[in-house]
Amino acid sequence: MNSSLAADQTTALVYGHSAEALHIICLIIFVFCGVKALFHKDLKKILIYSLVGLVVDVRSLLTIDSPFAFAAFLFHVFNFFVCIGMMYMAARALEKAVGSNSLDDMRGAGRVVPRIGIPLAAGLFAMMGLPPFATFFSKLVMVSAFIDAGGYVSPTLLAAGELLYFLVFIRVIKIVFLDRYKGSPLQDREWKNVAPLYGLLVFSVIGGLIPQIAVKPFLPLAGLMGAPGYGIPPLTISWPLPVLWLMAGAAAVYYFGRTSNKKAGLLSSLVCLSAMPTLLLSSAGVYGLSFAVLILFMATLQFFYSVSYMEHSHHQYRFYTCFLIMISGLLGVSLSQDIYSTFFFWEIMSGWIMYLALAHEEDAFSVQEATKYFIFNYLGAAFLVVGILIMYDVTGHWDYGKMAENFQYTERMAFAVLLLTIGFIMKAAQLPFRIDYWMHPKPAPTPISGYISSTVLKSGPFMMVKIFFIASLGATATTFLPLDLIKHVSGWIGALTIIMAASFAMLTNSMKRLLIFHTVSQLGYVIVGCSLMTSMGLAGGLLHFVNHMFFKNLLFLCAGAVFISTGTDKMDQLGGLGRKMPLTFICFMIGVLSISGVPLFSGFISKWIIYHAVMDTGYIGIAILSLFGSVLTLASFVKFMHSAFLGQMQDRVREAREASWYMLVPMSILAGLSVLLGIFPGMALMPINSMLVDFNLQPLQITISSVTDGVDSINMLFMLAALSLGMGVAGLLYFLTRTKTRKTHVFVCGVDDLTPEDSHVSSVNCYEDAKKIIKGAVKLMKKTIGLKGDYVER
Amino acid sequence: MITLSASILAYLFFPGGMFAIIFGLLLLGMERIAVARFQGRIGPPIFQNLFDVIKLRTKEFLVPEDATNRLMFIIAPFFGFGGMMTAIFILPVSGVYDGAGASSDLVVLIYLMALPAVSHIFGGSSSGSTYAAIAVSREAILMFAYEITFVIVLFTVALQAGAGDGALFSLKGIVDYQVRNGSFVHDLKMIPAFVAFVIFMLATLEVPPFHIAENDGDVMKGYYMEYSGMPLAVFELTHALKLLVLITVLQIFFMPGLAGGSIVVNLLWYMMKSAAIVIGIALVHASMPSFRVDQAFKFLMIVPVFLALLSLGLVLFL
Repeated sequence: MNSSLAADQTTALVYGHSAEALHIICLIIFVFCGVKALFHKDLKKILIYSLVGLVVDVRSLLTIDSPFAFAAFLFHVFNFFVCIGMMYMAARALEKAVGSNSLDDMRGAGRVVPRIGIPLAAGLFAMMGLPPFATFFSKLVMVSAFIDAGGYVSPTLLAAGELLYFLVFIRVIKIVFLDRYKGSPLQDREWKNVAPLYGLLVFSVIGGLIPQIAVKPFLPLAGLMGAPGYGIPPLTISWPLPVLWLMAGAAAVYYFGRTSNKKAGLLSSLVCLSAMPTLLLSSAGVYGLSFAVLILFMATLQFFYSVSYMEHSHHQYRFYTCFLIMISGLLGVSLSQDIYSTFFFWEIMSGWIMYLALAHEEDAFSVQEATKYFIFNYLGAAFLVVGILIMYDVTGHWDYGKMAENFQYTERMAFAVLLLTIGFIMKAAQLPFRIDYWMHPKPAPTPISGYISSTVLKSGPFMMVKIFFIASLGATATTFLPLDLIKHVSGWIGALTIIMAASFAMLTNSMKRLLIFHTVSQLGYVIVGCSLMTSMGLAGGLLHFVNHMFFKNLLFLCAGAVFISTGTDKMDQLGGLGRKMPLTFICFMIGVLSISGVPLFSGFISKWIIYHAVMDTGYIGIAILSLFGSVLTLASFVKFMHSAFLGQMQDRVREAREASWYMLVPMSILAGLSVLLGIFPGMALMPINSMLVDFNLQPLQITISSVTDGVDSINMLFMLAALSLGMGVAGLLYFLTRTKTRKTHVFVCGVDDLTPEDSHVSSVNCYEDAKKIIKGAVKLMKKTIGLKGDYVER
Repeated sequence: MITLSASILAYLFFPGGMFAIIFGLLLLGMERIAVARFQGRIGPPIFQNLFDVIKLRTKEFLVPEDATNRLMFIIAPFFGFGGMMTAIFILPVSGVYDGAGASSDLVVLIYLMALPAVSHIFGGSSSGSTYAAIAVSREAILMFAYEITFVIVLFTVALQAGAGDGALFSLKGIVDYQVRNGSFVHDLKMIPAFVAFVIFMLATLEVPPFHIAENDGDVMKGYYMEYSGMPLAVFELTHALKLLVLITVLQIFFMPGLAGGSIVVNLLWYMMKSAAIVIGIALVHASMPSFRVDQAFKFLMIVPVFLALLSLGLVLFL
């Protein structure tokens, strides 16, 4: 008896050790293959290395005790083989076409031979596990198997570990597809020779579109091998009608828009506008629907603007198509009723389509920045996937409503909420560690930069509120602590980001970079407001959410108009534009006044509500930081305004012309909305009030122009009356004096040999002392936290 | 209807509008006399600033040919004037006037008080003058430095007036609290905040040692440089109103005590307190040399911020 027990123990020990040893060996192989693939020069070898590494990685599924782990393993490995097979054949074909197996010789070759290039690119994106390929689902099922077995640290590590292989694939994409081809002309393959490649591609995409059927054969297969799989989560995506409409529109634009830019742009604009009525059929609730309306409205303006902006670009239809699909992904996020579809659309929104749209200009700088942003998004999604699957595992439902009903507060659930919050906050480019690394890229075409800033990044706070709501429903008083802590920390992150991003904006000399920094900073206000989850906080956050959409997009469009008209993004090369582009200047001023929160413009009232909410909750630190942030905002926009639009006219600006009507119309609509919402915030607060009711919160006391918080209240009509009466008195004084007006030259103390360049105070000369302090703070942070790199002007 | 017409009267004549402008101009005149006396000069008559404004009425208005945006150049003084008129309208004067509407709120006040600076920045920047451009850059950087002090002092006062029960943002509420429980200037915890606020006030008014953005010596009146005639007069009026607004805010925050039950007595008390504060400002003005912009920035970022934070800490944790 004793001896057999001892033997059992010994066996268990040996098994345990060998399992551990296997784990370590596999880990070594995984890392070795990844690193090898990352630096290898031969495309085929890269593919083989990554296949080996990934399969070894997936192998860890076999060690866990889960009903469907084996099926998940088979499904995933099968998909890998399909992709790698397709890519291997494509790589061989490409090698033959180029006549060399080195990646250096293949620079840009993928685009010259599209028939070979498309399967290769699709395979690379599929290997990253992005929709619409089957690997997206097999990865999901795989992570799900891990979570089903009870672990949650290992799937997180697994998802993060795939980042290594993501880098491998993105490197290949960058070299083969986004570089410029310099070699001799290439011969593309005949269609019939590449047919098998496309067969595999179709197979993969079908698996991606109907995963619930594609996964079927693997369950009995797993059964045959002695591990019948059951309990795989249902894999049905609900496709809202407007999303389908937009995708069809994207196809139409790709097909019909080849002939002219104008046609493509107007068609895209029309597609977005005509998608609005289809929203009536959706049942997403006022929260999602309002966001969807704004998404489509902004997209309509954006495409209208692009007609003029993209005129001198290339392949516009391609840009519009990618942009439209990205928007449809965002629309899907806003309209989906279950978290699974939300994640699917999330990956469409921030996946490879976005990458192609951002890298549209195809110069080295665009590609580099777009790649950086893509990597960052991929990392964020890795957190999300684990969080979502834990939520499913605990509640047993994808649907938001049912999820809230079955919500049980456990340690795992807190971990899931934490992961989701990190993922969503990362999408909003928060987290105050060197935001300048992971903001969305500057060199992308301005319409898409403006759209990402104003609308796409809002998906972060949008989803965060949803998750907090679900979590707070399930939480009872005793289990409230972790959620409270998460909200607390995200509020602080928002507040610190406000200051940090606004300080970086003080340093920069590039128009678009300044605006992007301010996007991050203003999103900080939204995060601060939303993370409070009180009536006032949420209302303020959501109102700022809307206001920021209008004024930030307005500022981007103005910057784009300046860029088109002068050809430079550097503020110190501009000056005196206000004279050449008066209408743009007026729109820009409205944007500046709104973003700095001057009363009567839209940023003011939302910030007012946020400050009150923050103080009501007792976060004095956050309140001080966010109020100080708005001073910084004003200061950095004064720099922008002065050095670009006012001051002495520079040589570069002399030839500048006013923006075209295609640009001015969207700009003036946005400017009008900023003023309108500044005076009548009730227009946006009324729908927000009904959202508050949906979120089980007390609605605010509002009228069309006023808001009341306890004893404090503010009435914008009153402010309007008081301020305009004061200005009227001043105007009356002007009018009554009726003295002569004479034109003179400015006084320069008799100096007559100053060039405009000498006498213009440009952006680099503003705020030298403040810049010194900010740079000092960056250096200090670098020393204390150990982060590398100084602030670099890009 | 009656409240509306009462509001309009309050806005245009008393305690805003007419009264405030004349009183503000007199305070400016008084400051000039006091500075002169401290420096052993006689100084101008007390009505000098009023005369200046009246005289400017007859002067012609020069618009620079090189102005980048003439419209902006012409309307820039409006922002500050409108903002200050509104500010003085919503500020309560203890025992005299309750402040208009329900909007008498600290957060609104911050933004209204930034408007004169915005007006300077817009006007100076659009004039096309290099001196004005330098002044704008300096004004913006000083604003950046002193605004943080103001924000912290404001929260300190709001928390102290909230008396442990969150923050009280209503200006009227702050005044009432102090009338009931004694002025904050008598409270040791609030002394650092008081000093910080005075420094903030000097910086906002650009009195030496913060006479930097519109210094005659190096930037020749800065953003005012190209202004003449009526717009300059409006700037002058804005300045007078700004002085009065700051003095009133100082009284609301720290010394809103009453002198008696009657409105007339309280009004006289308010005017006497204002005059005393102005003489205090004049003393600093007369005895201090001016900072350079970098020195001022460093000073403002360190000393008043530290004092204000000290007070905030004391209020929070004691």
